[in-house]
Amino acid sequence: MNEDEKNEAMENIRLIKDLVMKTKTEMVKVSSGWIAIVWGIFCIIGFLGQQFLIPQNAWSAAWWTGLSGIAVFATFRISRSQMSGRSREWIRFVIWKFIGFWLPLVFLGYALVAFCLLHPEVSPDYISVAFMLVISTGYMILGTMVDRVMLYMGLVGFIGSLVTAIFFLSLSSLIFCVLFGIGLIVSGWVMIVKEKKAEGQ
Amino acid sequence: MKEHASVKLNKMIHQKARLGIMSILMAADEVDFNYLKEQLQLTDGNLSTHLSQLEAQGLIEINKTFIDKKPRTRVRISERGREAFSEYIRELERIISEIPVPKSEKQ
Repeated sequence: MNEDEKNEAMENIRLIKDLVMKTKTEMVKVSSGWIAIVWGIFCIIGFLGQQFLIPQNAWSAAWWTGLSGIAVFATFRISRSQMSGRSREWIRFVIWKFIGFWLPLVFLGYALVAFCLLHPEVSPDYISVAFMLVISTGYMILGTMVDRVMLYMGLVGFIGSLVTAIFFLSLSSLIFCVLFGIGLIVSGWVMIVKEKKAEGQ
Repeated sequence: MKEHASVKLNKMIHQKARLGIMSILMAADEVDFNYLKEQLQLTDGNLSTHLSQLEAQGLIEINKTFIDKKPRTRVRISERGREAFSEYIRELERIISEIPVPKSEKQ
């Protein structure tokens, strides 16, 4: 055995590690387009409902919780269909990646919402702003790792949320409906088209 | 004669392009032909040759279908391929651990 063999072995291990990491990141991207569309529809129904159907804050919480449940279920079904036939390790990797990323951010969102609710002097309209800032931050971070479309979506969402909070707070539901609902659907659609193009090359 | 350390390495996997194919398949289970071509920067012919060799050894499975009248080739790692690749990595690790670090690198 000599030094060259050791170097070659180390080089091969490095190559394997790089390719495995890159592939796993790419694979997480595959189902992201449809998931973005689901959450875009969730935002449109949610904010329109809040603006026109749900006048009281107590009902507002139930409305969002119920809708979130449906969206989470739809996300799970999409992920399952995209992962059918894959190994258990692979499914575990994707699910933990997804949960590990969004769960801390969702907790942060709830903490900010709780803060808004504990201070009566703060308008309840800031609840949506707080949550949307957190979600936009999530998309910006994901965008740097997975797809630039997500980064742009996050940036637009973040700036849009700040502008809405400062200048158009009373119209926040309608603005977020357009900004996040349509924004997520368009981002998801772009990602699906890109994916299909790559497959058909 | 002194035995070459890499003599136990699976020669089918050891070649760079095939090592790339197997690494991607280990991570993804199943991928499209075009995905492999793009990631590994190989030509259609070159990739096809490597895939045929891996398939002949039972390390991968190739599934050819038509979607919207366009041919689509999916490549999947087999159970035997998974085991062979794990064995290959163990062998690499053995080589790395058995060759001592030179004194100059230790400092």
